[in-house]
Amino acid sequence: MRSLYILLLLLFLHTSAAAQQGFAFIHITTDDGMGLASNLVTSLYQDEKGFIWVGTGNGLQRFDGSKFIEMSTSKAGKDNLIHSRLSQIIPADSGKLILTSFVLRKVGLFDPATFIYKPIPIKPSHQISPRSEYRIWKDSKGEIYLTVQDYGILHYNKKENVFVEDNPFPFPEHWSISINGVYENVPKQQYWFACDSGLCIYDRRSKQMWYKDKNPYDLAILKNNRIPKKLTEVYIDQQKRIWLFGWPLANGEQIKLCFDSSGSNLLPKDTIGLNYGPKDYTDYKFFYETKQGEFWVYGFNVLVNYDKNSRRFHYNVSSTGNDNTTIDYESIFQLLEDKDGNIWMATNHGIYYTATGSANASIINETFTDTSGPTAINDILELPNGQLLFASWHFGVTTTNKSLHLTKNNFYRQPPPNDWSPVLKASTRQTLSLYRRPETGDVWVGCNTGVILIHNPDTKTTKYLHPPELNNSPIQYINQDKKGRMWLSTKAGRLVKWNDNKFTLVHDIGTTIYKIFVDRQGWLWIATRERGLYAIDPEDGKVLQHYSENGGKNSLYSNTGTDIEQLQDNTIVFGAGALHFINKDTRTVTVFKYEDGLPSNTVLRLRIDKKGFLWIITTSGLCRYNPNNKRITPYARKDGVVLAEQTIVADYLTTNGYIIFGGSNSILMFNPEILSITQKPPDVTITDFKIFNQYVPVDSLMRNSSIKLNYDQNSLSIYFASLSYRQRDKLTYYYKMVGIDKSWVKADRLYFANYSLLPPGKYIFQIYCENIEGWRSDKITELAIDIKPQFWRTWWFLSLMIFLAAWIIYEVHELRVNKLLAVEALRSRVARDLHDDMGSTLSTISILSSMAKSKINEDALKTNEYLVKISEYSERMMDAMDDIVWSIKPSNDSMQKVTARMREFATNVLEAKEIDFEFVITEDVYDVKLNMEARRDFFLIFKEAVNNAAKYSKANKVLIQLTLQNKKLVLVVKDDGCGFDVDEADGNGLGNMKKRADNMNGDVTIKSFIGKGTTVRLVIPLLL
Amino acid sequence: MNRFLSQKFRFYSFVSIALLVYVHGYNLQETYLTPFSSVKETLTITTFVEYFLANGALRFRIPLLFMISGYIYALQDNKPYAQRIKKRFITLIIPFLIWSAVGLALTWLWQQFPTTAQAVRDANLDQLGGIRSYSEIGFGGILKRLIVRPVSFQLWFIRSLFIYNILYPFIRWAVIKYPTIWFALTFIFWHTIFSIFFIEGLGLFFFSAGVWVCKRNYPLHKKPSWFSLYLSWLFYIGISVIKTFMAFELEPDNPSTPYILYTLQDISVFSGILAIWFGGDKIVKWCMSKSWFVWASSFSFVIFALHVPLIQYATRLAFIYWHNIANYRLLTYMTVPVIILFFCIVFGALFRALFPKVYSVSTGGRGF
Repeated sequence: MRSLYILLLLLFLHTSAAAQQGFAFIHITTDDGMGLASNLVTSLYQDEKGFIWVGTGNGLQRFDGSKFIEMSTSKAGKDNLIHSRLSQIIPADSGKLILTSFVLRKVGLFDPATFIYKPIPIKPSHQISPRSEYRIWKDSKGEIYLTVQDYGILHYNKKENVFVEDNPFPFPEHWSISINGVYENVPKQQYWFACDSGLCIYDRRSKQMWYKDKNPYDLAILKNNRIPKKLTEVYIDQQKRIWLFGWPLANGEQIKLCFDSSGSNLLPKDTIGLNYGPKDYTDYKFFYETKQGEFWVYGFNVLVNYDKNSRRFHYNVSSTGNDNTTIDYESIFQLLEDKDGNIWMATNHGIYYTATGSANASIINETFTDTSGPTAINDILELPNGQLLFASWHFGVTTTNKSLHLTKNNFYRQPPPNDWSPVLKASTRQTLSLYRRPETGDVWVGCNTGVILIHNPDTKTTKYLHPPELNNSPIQYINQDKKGRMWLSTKAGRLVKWNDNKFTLVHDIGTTIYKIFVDRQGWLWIATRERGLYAIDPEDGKVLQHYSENGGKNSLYSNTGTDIEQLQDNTIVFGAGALHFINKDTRTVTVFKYEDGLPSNTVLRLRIDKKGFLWIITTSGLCRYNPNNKRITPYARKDGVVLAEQTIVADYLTTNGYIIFGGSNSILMFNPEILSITQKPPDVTITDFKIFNQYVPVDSLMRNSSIKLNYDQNSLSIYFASLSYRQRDKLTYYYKMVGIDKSWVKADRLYFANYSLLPPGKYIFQIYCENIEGWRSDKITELAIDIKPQFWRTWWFLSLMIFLAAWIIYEVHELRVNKLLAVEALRSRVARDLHDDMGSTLSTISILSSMAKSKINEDALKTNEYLVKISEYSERMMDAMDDIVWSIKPSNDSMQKVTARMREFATNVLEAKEIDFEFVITEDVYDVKLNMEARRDFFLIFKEAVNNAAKYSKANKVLIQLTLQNKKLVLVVKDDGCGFDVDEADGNGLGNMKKRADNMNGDVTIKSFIGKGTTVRLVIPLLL
Repeated sequence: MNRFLSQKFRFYSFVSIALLVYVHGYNLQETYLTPFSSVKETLTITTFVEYFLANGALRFRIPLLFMISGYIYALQDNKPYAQRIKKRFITLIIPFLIWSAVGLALTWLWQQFPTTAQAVRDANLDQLGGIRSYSEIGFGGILKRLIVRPVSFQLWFIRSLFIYNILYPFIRWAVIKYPTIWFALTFIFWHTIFSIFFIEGLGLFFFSAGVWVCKRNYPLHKKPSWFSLYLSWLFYIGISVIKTFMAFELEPDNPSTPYILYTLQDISVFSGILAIWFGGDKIVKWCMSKSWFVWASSFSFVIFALHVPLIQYATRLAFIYWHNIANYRLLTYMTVPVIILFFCIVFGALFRALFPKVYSVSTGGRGF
C-alpha cells in the first residue's frame, strides 16, 4: 500500500503547477496577524540586539520575528511619539533613535529604554520652502545631518538637541544639493554631493569643497562633460565604480551613468538592464550594496539588482502574484540587509524580505516554459564544458548554459535510422535517462521503447540503438560500473549489461527499476518498485543482498524505492518512503522516519554533496541529513528554497559543487555551502515582558541587574527570540526558571513562557536556543527576577521576631527571678527586722520579767525599776512593730501616707518636748513613689533625725522640710538647738542614717555647730 | 597582667587568626564583602552559611585582635619609643615584606601550570585588577604588589599595626585626654574605611579601645556585674543572623540598606567581643591546658601570613575538580579552610624545625 501511495504521489506531483523565476520573497502585511500597523512601510533599522525597527504610516514598531510591538511614549516623557507616517529611522547615540516625519516636518529622538520621545527643533537661518523635502543622513563619525531641498544642510547639535546651520560644507554659491544626493567616501574622508549644478566633493582633510570650477587636484570626475548638470544621486560601489544619476532637461528622462574609479571612463556595459523592464514613470532614488557586494537600485516603481552571472541588471517586476517569488510595490522606500544577510524591503505594500541564498543567487528556483527550457524533466547531466543536459519527455535532450538559459545541441543533428518505425523515431525525443562515459565522452540517452542514443558532443555524431534485450521498455536509468561496463534498467524491470559492444540481459525483475547505483566496492544497487532493494555482483550478476519489507528486524519501510546514495562511511542510503541506512557488511537496516525528524515519509530524491552531507527531496520539500550528528535540517522559503516540492524526479551534482534537483518543468539549483553554513544561533533576547497580561517596557527592565517586583506582581509572561530571521524556524528554545523549574523546559513552537503566582523570592530565568544542527547559542540569556515578599514574610523579619521573643523571654524570666528574689529579700528583711528589733527586745523583756519576778518579794524598788524598763522596751517594741507593719503595708505606699506619718511622729515627739516645729512639704513631693524598702529607710532616717533633735538638741524650734529638687527628694531637718561637734559625735545613729541613705543611692549630710543648731539633709535620687 | 589573662590573649589571638580561613574562604559570587555588602545571589543554605560566617558572626576577629594589640602595646609603653619601634619593625614590617613576597611567589608558581593558573584567574585576587602572569608585570608591578597591594591582602593588618605603633604616643594622648572626641572620630574612620597613605582607619578605633582599657586598668579578667552571657550571645548570634538575612532580602539600591547592615554589624561585633571574651573562660582554660592546642597556637602567625592567597586558590582549584558534585560550594567552604589550616600548621612546624632562624625572622620571633 505504501508503495502504491508513493507512486500515486509521484505521478501527482510530477504534473503539479510550477512557480516563476525570481527571489524567494517573504511578505509581511497587516493581514498576517503579526501586528504590522500599516502596509505603508517607509523605513527599517536593525538594532544591536537584532530587533527590526519599522517606520510605518502609523508610527514606529519593533519586530522580533514573530510580532510587531507598537511603540508609544512613557508617562515620564512629556512629548508624544509621532504616530503618523514616519519617514526615516536613524540610529543615534546610546541606542536612541532619531525618528522623522517629513509629512509633519518633525524630527525627534526616541529612547527605547525609557520610551521617552523628545522633539528636535529645526532652526534654519532663513525660511524653508513649504515644498522642500527633507532627508536625514549620518556620517561615519556619527554626525547627523538634515538635507533640506532647495535650502541646504542642517547639522544636528547633540548638546543643544537642535538642527542648526553649522555644517562644515562650503557649497558654491547658488548650488543646491539634491535630496538624495549625498555619499560619504569613508576611506578618502570625502563627502560627494549631487547638486543641481553638478558634482561637489567635500574633502574633510583639507576642509575644501571641490567642484568643476575649483578642482585643485584635477579630478577627472569633476571635469567630465558627460555628467549631467542636474545631478540627483551619487554613489560609489565596492568596485569603486562611480554611479551618477541625474535629470537632463532635454528629454525628461533620468540619466544613469557609471564611471570607473578614475571618473574619466564611462562604463556603459555596467548599466545594461538598468533601464530594461520598467514601463511607467520611474524614479531611481537609492543605491544599496550588501556585504557580499550584491548591488541594488530602487525607488519609485523600480527595483533592480545586478545579476553577476548574466552581467546585467535584473528588473524585479511588480506583480500581485501570491507565490512567494513575486513582489508587489509602487515605491521601495528602503532596503536593509540584516545580520543574517537577508534583504528587507520597505514598500508601500508592506515588508518583503528575501533569504540570503536567494538574494545572492546561490539558490536558483527556475520554472521553464515550453519556450524557455525543458519540461517534463527526467534526468540531468553536466558536460565538461559546463553545459547542462536535461532528459525531457517531450523535447528530447535539452541543453542550457550554467545560467539555465537554453542553448542549442547536436543530439538530433543526425536523424534516427530511416528504417525505424514512427514509434521508435518518436521515442528518441521521449528521453528518460542520461549518462556520460568519461573515457569516450559519449553521452548515452535512455529513451522510450528501449531506444538508446549515443551522442558524442565533440564529433557531434549520434548513434541510434534499439537492442532487443531491452524488450521495447522505456530505459529508466543508465549507469556504469567500475570496469566500464554500462548498465541499463527498464521500466519493465530488465537489467541489461553492455560490454564489448554487446547487450546482455542480466536480470528480469519484473517491475520498474528506478535506479542503478554503483557503490565504492563496485556493487550494483538496484531500487525497484514493489520488490525492494537488490545488491548485485556486476561480475556474475548474482544477487548479493536483497532487502524488502519482509526482512524481519532489517525490513524496509516500503518495497518501492526511488533513489540510492552512499555516505562517506560506506553506509548505503536508500530512499523508499522513509530513509534507510544499510550496513552491507552486517546487513542491518536502520530506518529513519518522520517520527525521527524526517519531514515526510516519502523520500523521493537523494544526493550527497562534496562534503558528505545528504540532500533529500521529500514531499515536504528539501532537507539535509548531517551524518555527523544524524540530524535533519529542512529548508524552505525563508532559506530561498521555493520549488523543492516540484523537483522530485532527477538529481545531479555539478563539478562546481552545485546540486540540481529537477522534475516537471522546475529546477532547484543551489550551492549546498550557502545552506550548510552551520553557525551558532544568536543569543536569545528577551523581547517582551508581561505582568498580569500587561506589557512592561522590556528595554528599561533589562537595564537593571534584576527585575524587582512586588509580591502581588507575580504572574509573568516572558517573551523571547533569538533574533536570527534566517534560523528562526530552525530553533528550539530551552528555558528554566531557577528556583521553580528543576530542569530545562523545551519551548517547542512557543516563544514565551508563563509563570503564574510565583511565590516571593529571587529567580533567574535562563534561556538558550539550539538550532536543528544541534548548535547552541553562545550564552545562556539570564533575566534575574526578584519578587519581594511582604516584609512580614521575610526571613529577616522572622528572625528578628525570634530574636525579640528570645529577648523578651529572657527579660520576663529576669523579671520573675527578680520578683522572687525581692519576695525572698522582703521575707528575709522582715525576719531579720523581727529578729533584730523584736527578738532581742523580747529577750530583754523576758530577762527583766524573770528578774522582777525574783525580786518582787525582796526588793520592790528594783522590781519597779525592772517593770519600768519592761514597759519602755514594750513601748519601743510596739514602735518598731508599728514601723515594720507600716512599712510593709501597701496602702502606705503613697507619699501622702508617708508625710502624714512623719507629721504624726514629729508632733508626738516634739510636742512632748514642747519644741515648736514647722513642717513644710511642697506639692510635687506627693507625686513621688518610693518602694517599700526606700520608704522605710527614708522614714527611719527622718525618725532618727527628729528623735535626735527632740532628745539632744534642746531646740526651741525644728524645721522639717520635704522638697523635690532636680529629680531628687530632699529632706531637711533643721533645729536651732545647742548643736554638737560632728567629728566627735557617737557614730552609731549617724552611721545607721548613712547606711540607710546608701541603700537608696542617696546621700545624708549633717551639719552642726555648737550653739548654732543642727541640720540633717537627706538627698535621694528618684527615677521619675 | 595575670597568667589567665595572658592565656586568654594567646587563645583569642589564635582563634581569631584560625577563623580567618573561614572569613577569607567564602566563595560567593560577590568576591569582596564589605560590612554592608548585599548579596544578589539566591538565599540558599550555602550562601547563608558563607555570608553568616564570613560577613557576620566572625567579623569580631579583627577588632578583637586590634584591641588585644592595643592593650599589650599600652602595657609596655614605659620602654623608650625608638627601641619599641625598632622592635616592632623587626616583628611586623620584616615579616610583612617576607610574606608578601611569599604570596607573590606562590601566585607566580601557580601561574605556571594550566589548571592552577586557571584557579588563580578564577580567584581574581590581585588587588590591582590584573590577570596577567606575574612574569609580565615588571619591577614596578612587583613592587606595588609587594608593598602597597599585596596579593596576601591580609597583611594589611600587621602593616597597620606598625603604623599605629608609630602613632602610639599621639593615640595614648588622645585616648587619655579626649576620649569622647577620639573615639567618635575613630568610630567614623572605622565605618568610612578611612585611609590615608598607610594609615588605615579600620582598626584605629579598636586599637585605641585596647589602649583605653589598659590605661583605665579595667579588670579584663573579671566578668562585669552588668554582663549577661545570655544576652551577649543572643545579640551576637541573633543580630548576625538577622543581618545575613537582610543582606539577601533588603533592597541593595535602597540608600538605607548599607546603614542598616552597618548598624547591625556594629551591634554584632560589640556583643560578639563581649560574648567571646567574657563567655568563654571555661573553653579557654580547657584548651590552654591541652599541650596540642598550645603547640598549634604557636603557629598563629604562619596561619595568618600564609592562608591567603592559598585559601582562594585552593577553593578555585576545588571548584575545578568538584563542580560536578552536589553542593560542591558548601562542601568546598566546609573542607578547604580546614585543609589549609592544617597545611599551615604543618608547614609552620616543619619550617620551624628545619630552618629555625629563618622561621624566627619571618615570624618576628613569634611561636618559640
